[in-house]
Amino acid sequence: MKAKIGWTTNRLHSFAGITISLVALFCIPLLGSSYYDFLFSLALIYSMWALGYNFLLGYTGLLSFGHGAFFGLGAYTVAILVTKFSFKPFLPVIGIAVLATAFLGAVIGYLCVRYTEVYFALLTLAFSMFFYALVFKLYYWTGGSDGIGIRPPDLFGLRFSAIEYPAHYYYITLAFFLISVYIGWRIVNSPFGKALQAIRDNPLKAEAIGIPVRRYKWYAFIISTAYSGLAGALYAPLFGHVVPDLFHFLFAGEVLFATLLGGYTIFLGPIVGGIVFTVAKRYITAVTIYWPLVLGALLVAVTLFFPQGIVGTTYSLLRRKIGIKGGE
Amino acid sequence: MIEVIRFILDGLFYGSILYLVASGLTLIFGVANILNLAHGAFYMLGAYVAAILIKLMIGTPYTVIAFPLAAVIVGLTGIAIERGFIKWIYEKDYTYQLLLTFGLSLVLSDAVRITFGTEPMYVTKLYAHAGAIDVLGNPYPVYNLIVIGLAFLIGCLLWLMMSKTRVGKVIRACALDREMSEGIGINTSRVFALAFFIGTALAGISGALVVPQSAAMLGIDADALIQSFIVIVIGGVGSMKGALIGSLIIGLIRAFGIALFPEIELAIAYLVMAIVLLVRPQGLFGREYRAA
Repeated sequence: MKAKIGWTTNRLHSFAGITISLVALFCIPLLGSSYYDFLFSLALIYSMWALGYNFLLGYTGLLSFGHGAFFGLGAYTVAILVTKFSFKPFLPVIGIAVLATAFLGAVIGYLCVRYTEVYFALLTLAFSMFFYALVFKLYYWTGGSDGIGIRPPDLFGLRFSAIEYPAHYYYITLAFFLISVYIGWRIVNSPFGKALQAIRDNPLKAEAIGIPVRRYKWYAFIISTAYSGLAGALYAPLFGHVVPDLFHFLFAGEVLFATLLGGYTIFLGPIVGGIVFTVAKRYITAVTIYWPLVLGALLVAVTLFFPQGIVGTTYSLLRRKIGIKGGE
Repeated sequence: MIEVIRFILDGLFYGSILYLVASGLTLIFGVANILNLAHGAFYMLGAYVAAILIKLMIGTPYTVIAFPLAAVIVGLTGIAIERGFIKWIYEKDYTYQLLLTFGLSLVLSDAVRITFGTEPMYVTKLYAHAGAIDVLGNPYPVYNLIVIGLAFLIGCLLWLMMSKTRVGKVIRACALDREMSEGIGINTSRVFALAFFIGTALAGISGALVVPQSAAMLGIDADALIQSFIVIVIGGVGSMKGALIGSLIIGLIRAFGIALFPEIELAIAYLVMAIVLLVRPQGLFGREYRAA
């Protein structure tokens, strides 16, 4: 997917990069380990989440602490549809979850995009904690602190389960992932996407040249919440269980970190970040119970020493060594 | 009617606790222009330190020293964190500032968990010891009244310091224009450290004061942080007066909400916040803020 960062002078390299990444992604189930299938399904979900998140952070310059809540809304919508309404067709369930999340994203976003910078961050954080508290209160629908255990939905009349057939679920996730990346790429390079970048770089100038700044920020917010909703919706059947912690701002901190880790200045960054973050988290939590401490320390370290993230730093190094272009 | 007076006193009590946290957050934001996401962690640290100190000293006449001592310990931790980490990112983009303080909040909260364990710490003995007093024929805990008085006193001292003393003038000068202050010979770096000391110490004393009434436990950091966010959104970001009024509003909403509409108590606070946002985006006492 290296073409996705505008590597125009090196089309051959980009093509090779895309092909290798795709083949690698398709081959993961061939390893024959259901653990890897599960892990990489989760990694792709985090990638989608981070990709959508980066529409705000990287492209519009808005830092949100509320995207855990939208992830949670997607997951809970799926869980409630499947368990409370026994509505199980997979694609409609996912579709409803995305739409429901985007709708709530539109409402919350309408209030939040009136603000910028820290004010925006502070508001999204407060609203996500409102949903967090609400999940505990609405016991009948959400199961309170127990969360909801869900049975797998149906796909094309077939019952499929992430636990019984992790490889199937992986391919479904991969399909959604590829579609998300494609749509994301199109959005970022559309006139709308360029307008967002103009807003990020200089809101006043953007307004002066006739970009409806607040409305575009609102659209960007809605799009990113739709991505969060999709990621959450795919997460619910994978885990088979959803909990209120998904709404907590600490969980939103994970997507923030994944995005930062990959590098939020580059389209490819959050995609790589999501995968690296998920895999790293699995292995770190396996050896220590001090996950928040490690996460916090890594966050501090990345912020202070590698603000460009993995992909950004790699590009800087490559640029310096062999003078390739790209990475902007 | 008597019930109403009780709710108002409860509201003042919650408001006082909240005011101390929120004014610390506001002070740091006003001076250093940093929204300190680790502020809740300092509050929680204050609660745990106070719980330990009170347990050590309970029964002796020195128990009251536990509160200022906890505040100072938290304040010194605040300075250490500022000198060690936050100092380096004053000139950076706000994104990095938020990321850094968020990372620090994770580290601090987890450090508290590792140090003090996961069990809540109660020192209700002190609360009972303070006894109750007759307020219009109804008993009311004296401790709550002491906290209200103390918060009032600290608020007054803070106001006096900011408006009447040289230190306060220097702090305000830095808040207005860092470069200009440096130009006229103020050591702004030291002023920022001082702001962090006062701000985190306020969070610390607030956490300490809440311990006898409830407990030192995990998770109160996030609650304190969110509540102070709501307060400063309502009051106006960076306004000390706003922090006071906002705290009182949220404190009273909480007291009346818990008693009358326990189901939607929290929702009312958010509703008020949403209304303020729509009607007066800069908050009740905020400077005119251009929402781009």
